[in-house]
Amino acid sequence: MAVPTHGRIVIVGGGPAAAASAVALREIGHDGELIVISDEGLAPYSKPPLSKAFLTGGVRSADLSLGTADAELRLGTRVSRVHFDSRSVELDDKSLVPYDGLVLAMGMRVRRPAATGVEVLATMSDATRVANALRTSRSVLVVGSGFLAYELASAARTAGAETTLVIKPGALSARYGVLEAILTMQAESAGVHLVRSTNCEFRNGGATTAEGIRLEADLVLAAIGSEFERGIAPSDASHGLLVDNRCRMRDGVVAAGDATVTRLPNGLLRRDATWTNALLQGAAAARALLDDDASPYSPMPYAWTESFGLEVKVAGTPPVDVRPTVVDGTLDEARALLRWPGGAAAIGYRIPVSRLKALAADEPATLDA
Amino acid sequence: MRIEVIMERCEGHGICAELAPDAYSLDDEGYVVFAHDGGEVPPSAQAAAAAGARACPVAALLVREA
Repeated sequence: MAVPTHGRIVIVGGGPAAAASAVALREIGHDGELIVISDEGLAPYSKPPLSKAFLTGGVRSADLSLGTADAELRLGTRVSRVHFDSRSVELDDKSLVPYDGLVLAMGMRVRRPAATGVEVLATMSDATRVANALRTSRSVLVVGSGFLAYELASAARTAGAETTLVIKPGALSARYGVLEAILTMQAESAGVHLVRSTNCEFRNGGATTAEGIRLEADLVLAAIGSEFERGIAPSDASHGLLVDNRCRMRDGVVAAGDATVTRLPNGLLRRDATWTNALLQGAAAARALLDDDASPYSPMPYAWTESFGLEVKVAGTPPVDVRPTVVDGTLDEARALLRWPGGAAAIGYRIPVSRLKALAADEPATLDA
Repeated sequence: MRIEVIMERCEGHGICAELAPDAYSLDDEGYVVFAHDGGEVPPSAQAAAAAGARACPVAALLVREA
């Protein structure tokens, strides 16, 4: 049953999905109480620049505020439990906040190595610390295989530091195929010392690879992913908050963002932990909470990264065992539009996302630009 | 409140139009256009317009508080 527009809606989380939900709820006419509860001390802010322009001084924190319409923000506040049956959330101080509608948008827990002297980049305060450290570090070690690791290595090079990047070979290509080869090539041409290792253990101020190479640097950065934190989720949630095609978990409860998973027709669970998904799913969850007939949310996956001056966009789910067709440009010059069955990528190639998605969906493409 | 767009930066992500359909839409190519002339945003759409601008992954939209 849809939540009445004058009811009280509680949003748990302070990231992009939470902010997009709050804005969308007001946008579509929710005029009741709207409470955002976040354990972070800051109001929601934009994250993509944190690992890019923010690190090299191109963006100020004041320009990153996302806004939450006129929601009441309870920052630095932890939810310890959700009482789904009696419709209330319990805070750390045991007080209860009853709700008519609930949006769970608490994100994932970023992995932070236990070793001292190792930084991660997940929040504004992390980014501020890392940006300061970059100014004085002559050497930087980045460990990680995803887009974030390349972005951090890129920022370190821009800051003029001697930069080492440790990747697990095949980790990125397992998801994005040829992109791993392109990004490693870019990193090496930018002067990054690339170390390929099957595993890496952090020790104070450095890391040791499974192959026995000891690496040290003035600044050590770990970009080793995040994990679902069961925390306040229902007891049957093991990999994430399972939502249906309208972001619904149960009556009066929707969820959005990195913590959610959906079930594919083949029975497998799928997570889409991207910036774009967090925002669009947050808005879709808001619509579903107020309207039982809201349209289904089934976006095509889309990811974007920028490192070493190269922008890479990927739409759809490129198969990893099929070489892409070069639709335009050339890979050698790192300017190419690629297409696979079910996926498409733009490497240093300007194309609106809607057209990239159309290409990935194998719709008649209009590439006459 | 006014919104400024830096067209060279727009990559057509479309997040702005999704979050604030009363302030932004996409042209036939898929790049952002203002729903109102000159980026002037009516009071009712300002919260969403600001959120849509700041959610832009490539910072193509700038919020100017009048």
